[in-house]
Amino acid sequence: MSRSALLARLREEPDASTRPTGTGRPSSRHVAPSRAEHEYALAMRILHEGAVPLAEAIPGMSTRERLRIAVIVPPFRFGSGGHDALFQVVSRLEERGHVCTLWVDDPFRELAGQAPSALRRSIVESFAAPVRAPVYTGFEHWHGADVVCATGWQTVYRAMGLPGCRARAYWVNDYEPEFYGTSIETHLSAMTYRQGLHCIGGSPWLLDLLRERYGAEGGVFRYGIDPDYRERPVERRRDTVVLYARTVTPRRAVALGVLALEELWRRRADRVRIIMFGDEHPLPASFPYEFLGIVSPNELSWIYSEATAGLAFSMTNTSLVPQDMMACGLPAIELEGFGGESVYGTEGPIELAPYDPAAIADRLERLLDDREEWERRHRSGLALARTLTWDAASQQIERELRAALRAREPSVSST
Amino acid sequence: MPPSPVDHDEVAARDAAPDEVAMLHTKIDALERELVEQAARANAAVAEAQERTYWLDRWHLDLNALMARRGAAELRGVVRVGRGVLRSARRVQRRLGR
Repeated sequence: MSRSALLARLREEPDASTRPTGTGRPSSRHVAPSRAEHEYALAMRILHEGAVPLAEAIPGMSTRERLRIAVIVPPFRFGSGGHDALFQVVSRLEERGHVCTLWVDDPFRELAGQAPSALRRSIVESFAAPVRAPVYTGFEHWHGADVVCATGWQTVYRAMGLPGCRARAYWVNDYEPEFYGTSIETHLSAMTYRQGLHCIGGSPWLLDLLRERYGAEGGVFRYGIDPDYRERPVERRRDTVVLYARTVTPRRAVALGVLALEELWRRRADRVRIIMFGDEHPLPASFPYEFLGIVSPNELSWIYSEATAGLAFSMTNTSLVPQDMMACGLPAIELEGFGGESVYGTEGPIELAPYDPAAIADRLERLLDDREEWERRHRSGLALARTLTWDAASQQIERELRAALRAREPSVSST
Repeated sequence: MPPSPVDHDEVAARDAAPDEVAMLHTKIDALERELVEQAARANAAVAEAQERTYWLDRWHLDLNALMARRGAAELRGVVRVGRGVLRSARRVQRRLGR
């Protein structure tokens, strides 16, 4: 670096919002290549050149007793509801005789340094999913499958680039383009729904959205409930509201929940107890509250069993949290218009509220004051929760994986 | 219209085809079952290996690289001698205890 360039660099205030003061031809730094290609190069290649052709279809392949199922998963950490659901289902598919493999697709190296054995152990222990499948952190040992199942938008392009598959399916937990502001990610994630994979939607609302906007086809499944979520022997309070406040996930609309709680506090300060959980750090609020941080399902079940009403939102598909609350006898409120109607109905155990803090506060007050309404939601929630198991979910997923295979079979008889 | 001459080969082929197709289906079924069994065995082997290497991987320990380092063979020799001494001592202890 030349003397003048060095002086210019020293004069820079990286954090200041002042105009750069340098003059003349600017100096530059040489940046050596640090990766083989951009992380999205594969996606662009697939969109440009198309998918690797599927393996030849074999008559009866959709009805064989045991299927080879390869599941491609994005990087994960404890607390990911989507991954939890996935691993629970994989372990049940294995119990049903299918031969599964798990492939972690990690183009941004978020899990770099974590060996497959460590990831596998965290699935078994942290997610409490007794999977027998081996875990692979790359695709150099890829050996094909009857069905390859993508489980997040990034993994779709990976699935489309893998040879030796008889069908491709796409487990869709959320409408992922809305995870991002307008960006290449919104484009690439939206394009995945147009690739002809058999979509397995987390709610009828989600599948309808994919059908209407992108012409996607597929089926739906119903999420199970972790057995840790059950009513605990603890006295039920009549003044406690629990908010799922995972602020790092914008789709959770935590601010809306906080606004509703502000309104509730204004109406009945000192007559309501507020609890928040789901994030590492407490967020500033105009009312006092108890903060739990990130807690285990077992710990949460005790809180849910003690509380009076729960709030948990998701703007990209109905959330799993309200049904966990329901399983502990806690009447929950979620937002209308984001899939809840298609799963619970408008008069079901989960109360659906409009996108309005005052209206949400009204619903909360009703649950706090109207004992009869509370009992009705409490009982219907517990009754529904008993039917939502991961065994049932895995049967629905299996049905859809077989449907993906069946969709290819007619081409055999016609040729 | 005069009747067309019977093509005996074609009739034979027509009669034989269903059997042959059924036989091929059976063969495909058997091969498919074998493929799944093989995949299951291979997966179980890989999963078992991953279970065994968990702590080594967790601590980023590459025993092959470690044992290839200078002094590793000597260290192994010392451990071997130590184990030998220990076993002899236990043997003596057992005899004295009788």
